[in-house]
Amino acid sequence: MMPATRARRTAIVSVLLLLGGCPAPTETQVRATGPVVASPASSGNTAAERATDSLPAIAGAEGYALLPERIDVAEDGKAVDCIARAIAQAAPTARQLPFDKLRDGLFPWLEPGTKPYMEEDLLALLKRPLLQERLKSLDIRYVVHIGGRRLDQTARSYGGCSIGGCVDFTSQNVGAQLSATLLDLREGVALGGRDATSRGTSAGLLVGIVPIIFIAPTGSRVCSEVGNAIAKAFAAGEQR
Amino acid sequence: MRAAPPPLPEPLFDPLPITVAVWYAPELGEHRATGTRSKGRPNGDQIVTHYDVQSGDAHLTVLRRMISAAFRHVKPLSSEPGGPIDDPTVDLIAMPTVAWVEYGAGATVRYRISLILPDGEHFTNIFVSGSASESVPEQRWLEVAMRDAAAQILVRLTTNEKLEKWLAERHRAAAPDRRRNS
Repeated sequence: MMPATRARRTAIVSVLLLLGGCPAPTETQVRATGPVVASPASSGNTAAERATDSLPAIAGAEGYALLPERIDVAEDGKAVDCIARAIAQAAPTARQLPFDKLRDGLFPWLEPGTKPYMEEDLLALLKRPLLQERLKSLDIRYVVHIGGRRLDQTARSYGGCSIGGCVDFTSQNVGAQLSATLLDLREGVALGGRDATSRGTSAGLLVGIVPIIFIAPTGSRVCSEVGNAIAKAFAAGEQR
Repeated sequence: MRAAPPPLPEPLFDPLPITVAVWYAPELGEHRATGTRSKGRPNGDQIVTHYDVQSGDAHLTVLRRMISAAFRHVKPLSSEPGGPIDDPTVDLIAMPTVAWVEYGAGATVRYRISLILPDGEHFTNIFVSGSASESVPEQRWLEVAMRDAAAQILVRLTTNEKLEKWLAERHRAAAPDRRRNS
C-alpha cells in the first residue's frame, strides 16, 4: 500500500472516530410525579437532585418488582433494563422478583389486555384480598411502575453536488420519555416517581464518501435522570 | 404448522358461584388459520408467504382451562343445545367459539363466549381479543395472543354488567332461603 493512501485512510478513520460518535446537544426536563415525602431542604442542587431528595427511602430487601406500564415498554426492554441496572448498582442487597414471576403469579391480572394503565387503578386492583394474599406469598412490598416511549421523529434531508464534489445533510428530531413510579403494595399508595423527557437533533453529513454523524443521546439522558432518582431511593433504604 | 397452547399459570381467580354447561363445537378443535401475508412493496422486493396454522387443539385447551377456572361447576355437554336443557342444576350454558384469527404482522385471536339461559334464551356474548406484535418471534405469535385472550376471558366475566347484575339478583333472591335454612 502506498504511504500516501495509508495516510489518507488513517485521516478518514481518525475523523470518523472523532466525529462519528459525537453527542449532539439535548434538552432534558425532569419532573417529580405523585405524592412526595417531605425532606430537609437542600440548596445548590440541580432540579433533578432536589427531586431525588424528596423520594422516600425504599427498603429493597423487602422485595420489589419492575412492572412495565404497557406491553411495548416490556418488549422493548430498554426502559426496564435501565431502571434495573441503576437499582442493582445502588442497592446490591435489594431483592428483585423477575417480572415474569410476578405476571405468572398474578395471572390473569397483569396481562397486556387486562393490566390497568393508570396507577390508581393498578393500586386498587392490587389491594384486592386475593391479590394481596398472593403478593404476600411472593414476598414483595414494592413495585416500580415503568413507562416510556420514543417521541415523534421527523427527518429532513438536503443535498447537492457542485464541481468540488457532493454533500448530503440529514437531520432528525429525536426524543425519549421515561417515567418510573414507586408503589408501596403494603400501604396501597404511590410514593412518588420521576418523569423525564429529552429532545434533541441527530444529524448526519456526507462529504464525498466521509460520513460525519452527530447523535442526540436522548434515551441515555432520560435513563440516567430517572434511573438515578429511583436508585437513590433504594440506596437510602439500604443505608438505614 | 401446528400451534401449541400457551403455558398458562394457575389463574388467581374466584370462580363465579354458578354451574355452567359447556358446548365445545367439533369445528373448534379443527380450527386452522390460513392465508397469505406479504412484506415489502408490491412493485419492489415483495415477499409473499402462505401460512397454514392448525390451531384448533391449542384454542380448545385454552378455552377449557379458562372456562373451568371461571365457574364453580362446569358440565360438558355431549350435544349442541338447541333449546331448553333439562338439568335443574345448570344456571347458564356457555358456547365458546373462535371468532377469528389474524396472522400477518403479528397475530390477533378473537374468542366469543355466548352465554345462554337454561330455557334456551340468549343471555349475552363476551368478546375478547388477544394480540402479539411483530416484535415477538413469529413462532410465538399465536401463543402470546392466546395467553392475552385467555386472561381477558376471566377478567371480562367479572366486568360484564349484565352478568354482574344477574349474579347479584340471584344472590339477593337466594338470601331469604339462606336465612330460612339457617
